Amino acid sequence: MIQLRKISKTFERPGERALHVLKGVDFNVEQGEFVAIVGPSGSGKTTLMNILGLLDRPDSGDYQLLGSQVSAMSATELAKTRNATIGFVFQQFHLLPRVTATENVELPLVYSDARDTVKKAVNALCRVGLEERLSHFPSELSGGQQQRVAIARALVNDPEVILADEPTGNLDQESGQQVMDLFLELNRAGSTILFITHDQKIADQASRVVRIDNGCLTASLN
Amino acid sequence: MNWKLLLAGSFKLMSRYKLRTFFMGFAVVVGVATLIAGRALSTGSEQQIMQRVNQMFGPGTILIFSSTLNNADLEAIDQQLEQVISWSPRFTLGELDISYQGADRQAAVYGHSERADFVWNRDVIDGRFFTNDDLVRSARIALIGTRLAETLFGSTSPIGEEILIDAIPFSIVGILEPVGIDPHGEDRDEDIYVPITTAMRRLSNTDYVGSAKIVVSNHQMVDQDAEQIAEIMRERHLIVAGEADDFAIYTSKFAGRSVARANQVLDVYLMVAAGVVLLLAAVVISSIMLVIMRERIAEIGLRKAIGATQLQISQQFLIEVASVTLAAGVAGIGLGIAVASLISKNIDVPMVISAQSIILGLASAVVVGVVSGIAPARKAAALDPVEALR
Ligand SMILES: Nc1ncnc2c1ncn2[C@@H]1O[C@H](COP(=O)(O)OP(=O)(O)O)[C@@H](O)[C@H]1O
Ligand SMILES: [Mg+2]
Repeated sequence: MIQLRKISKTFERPGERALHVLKGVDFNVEQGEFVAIVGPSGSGKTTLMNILGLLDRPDSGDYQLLGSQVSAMSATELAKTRNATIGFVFQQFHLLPRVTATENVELPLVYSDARDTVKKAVNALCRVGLEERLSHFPSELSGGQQQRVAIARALVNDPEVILADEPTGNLDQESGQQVMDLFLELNRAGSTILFITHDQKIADQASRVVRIDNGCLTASLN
Repeated sequence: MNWKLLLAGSFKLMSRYKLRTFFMGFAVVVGVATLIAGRALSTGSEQQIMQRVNQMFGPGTILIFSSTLNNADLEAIDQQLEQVISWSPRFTLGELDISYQGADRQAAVYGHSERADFVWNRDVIDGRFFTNDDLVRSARIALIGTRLAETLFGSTSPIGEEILIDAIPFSIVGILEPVGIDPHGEDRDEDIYVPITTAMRRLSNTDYVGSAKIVVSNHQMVDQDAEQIAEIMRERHLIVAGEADDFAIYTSKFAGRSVARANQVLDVYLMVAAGVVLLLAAVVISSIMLVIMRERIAEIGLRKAIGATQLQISQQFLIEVASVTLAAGVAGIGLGIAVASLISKNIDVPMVISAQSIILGLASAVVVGVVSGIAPARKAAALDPVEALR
């Protein structure tokens, strides 16, 4: 499903040495996998996730997503592909503040041709267990609930893959575990999930763990 | 792309960020209100003045003024120009002493012919107008304006009463139709009309009528007709080429044009004032948009991550700002109408709200929105989602 070959990414920094964050990363993900990406802070996890999520382009290397060559896609095609095949979950949730849970979840549908958008949003909120919080504003929800709204938003378009960058990083242990339980459940139901974490206990729940170190990806035994 | 959802989302945000929406819309409300109220009153006053001009002139009329104009000139014009329907001379006596039962005052007295009711467009509302016989006899009779009648006679009917004009007794036979204040600010309801022959022979001693009005058949042609009349006058008054005319001619078109020109100046002034306010509005909106852009960076990054294209981001920003300014335009039209009707009541000028000025108001509101939204929209569209989400 996802095939990375020799992906490199370098950041030029004015007045400093260029930073080689990814040095030829090879990485495959199969349909239905539940993969954790671990590594020390600043090791390039987010950079890799941005490339996987079509938000950033590698300097070199080859990326095939669902059989398509990503480097050949135009900016508009990338946007459409993000909308249809990828669901994002962020550490800071990134919910719109004065917008209700349902409206936040509806958001990706604005950029698709979907119909019955409210129904789809409500369904997604039910899947994350927030059927009681449909018209709450983010400020009226706990951190864990906000992250579950964000997960519902990632789910609403039935993406092929969910990419989560430290989804439990801003949560206490209990709500972090709830989010993990939700991911496990979604994965059992067929979703492909990639997530970044610092927390070994969280990473251990994935079916596969990969580690980034010094710009290279190594399989971590699990 | 789901436009309905995007629009609904924009409207929701507008209503949930009330303060920001208010500040963005306020200047547009003021600008559009200025535009609407200004145009309503300027069109209203133009129509009012044109109505008065038409009432005094009538369409298709030509006025001649000359200290040496006589009836023979007018008869010659009537004979030589087929298009003359009617004509009537007017002799202006100016302010004369009027007296009734020892009460003295002054009034503007005019000598008119029996055709003045039609040609000068002023009939009587009570009693009778002059007849040919009155003119032949130089009868000592008079028609008086309503306000003068009221001052002199109160509620009793003046008809049949005798007044002294310059110490000469005149019997009142009719009351002139009220016409109000003329564009020079004179109250025409204080006028007195006497037969022009009486005015020229008994009150004055002259062969010259001084002025006349000529009615022609086609009101579109008054300017050409006036030129022909000027030719006849030059011939009769022996004015050679290059010599100055001893007469002046005005047409109903000329009067209309000068009113229209005076109004155009006012219109341009109002347009400039409204334009300046709307320009300020655009600057204000643009800066507010750029300030809130900073707050909205994460939102833009998120929208891009979930699949918005650059075009869709800039469209959203433009739609948001244009819908705020459009709504402000609607509010501005309401405010403008309210202000115009308030002023209209106080200064006694009618207001006219045309579809044209409403369209102009809405269009300028949308244009202000789009113009002030372009820079922020482009900035938002160009934002790198990776940076924006960090
Ligand atoms: N746009 C950028 N310009 C310069 N340096 C960057 C940029 N983005 C990330 N970096 C640097 O690249 C390294 C990897 O960043 P990141 O992928 O965010 O790490 P992680 O998510 O593993 O903590 C860090 O040292 C970070 O400072
Ligand atoms: Mg990171």
